[in-house]
Amino acid sequence: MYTSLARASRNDVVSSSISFAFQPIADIESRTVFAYEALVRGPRGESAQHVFSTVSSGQLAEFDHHARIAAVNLASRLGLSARISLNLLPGSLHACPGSLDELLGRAQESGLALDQLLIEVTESEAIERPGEFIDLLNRYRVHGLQLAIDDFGAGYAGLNLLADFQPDLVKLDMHLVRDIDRAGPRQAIAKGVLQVCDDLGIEVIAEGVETLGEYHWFRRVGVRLMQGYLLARPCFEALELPAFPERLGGTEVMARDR
Amino acid sequence: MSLIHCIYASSATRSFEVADIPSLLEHARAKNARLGITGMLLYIEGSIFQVLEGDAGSVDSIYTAISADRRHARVTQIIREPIAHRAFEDWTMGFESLDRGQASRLLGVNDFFATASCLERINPGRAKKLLFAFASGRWRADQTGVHVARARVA
Repeated sequence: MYTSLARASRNDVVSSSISFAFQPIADIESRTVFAYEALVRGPRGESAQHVFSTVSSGQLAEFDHHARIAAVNLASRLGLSARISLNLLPGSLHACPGSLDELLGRAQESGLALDQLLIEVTESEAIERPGEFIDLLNRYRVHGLQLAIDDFGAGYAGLNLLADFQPDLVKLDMHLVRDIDRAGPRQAIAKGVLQVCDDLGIEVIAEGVETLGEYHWFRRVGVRLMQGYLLARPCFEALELPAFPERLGGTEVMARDR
Repeated sequence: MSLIHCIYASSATRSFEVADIPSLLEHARAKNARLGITGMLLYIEGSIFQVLEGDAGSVDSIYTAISADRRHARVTQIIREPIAHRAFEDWTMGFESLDRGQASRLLGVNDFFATASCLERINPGRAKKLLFAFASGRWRADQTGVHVARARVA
């Protein structure tokens, strides 16, 4: 355990060695930003892989914890009014159990409402520690924290997960999203997931949407939350607005393609 | 005190007519007010959908009573989970607010949406999503809703 002083200085060390890019998750119905996902970068925009290569595995959970706080601080300084979506590294809550409590406190100090916070946990993490995961979900849900399962549909057990707990959101794995407008099996799987999520009141985010074909397919089946290069790339230390497709004749096109 | 909601669907048995609901709720509302239970009940073509919100102990005991109530069949719990805020804060049970005493007007999805302006006041969240899912045919005992949903996708 660190003393609060040691923790504070440790925090500064982490804050000065990392920064963030933010990528919007767009609500295509209301044409607003639903949330910004915080993505780890180096202080000069270096890739996440580069940043993680400088962290030893023993320090990973602590690093992950401080990174979330740094992301909230930066987003708040940038004038965040939408939600912020924060990733949890697999196993990090196990290694750093008080992490979310501290995050909630720090978020409030930064002037954010707790229901602006969205936590992304990967499907594999949720499967590996189901008991802990359910406990986590429920303990923080009373504060308004929302939980998303990331990479949903990447593994075999995805849908079974929902038998025991129901997150607020799932992010469809981008391998399912890729070329979905032309791939029958992917459409069948995505429709199945959508039906289950509709029945359980779970919001679906299509992640990694890169083409208008993918956009139209998801729009047609009623998915209103999308994230991907088509709408916006991650933007270093800035909260950029997505480029929403524009209606032209009977269809929607990107303004940049006109 | 921990706040939860419990959302279930059931089918009304023959002894349970839609005309009975207002008087039934009249009775339930007094109890709900005493226990701090809020929520809403929707009845469409023999299918019941109800949201119960409140302290975990109170909600669970009411749900247990409903599960054993002969007027309900196929009682199916859809969700039971902690919540940060109530979606139906001002409603001891929202049925009356929906139809102003004439339950029969609720029969049919179109009528429901036509008279559902009060639903705009509901806090967004899972309860609201499920309410609309039910109204559009999910979780209904009869199969017509399922066909409607499939037809729309096709």
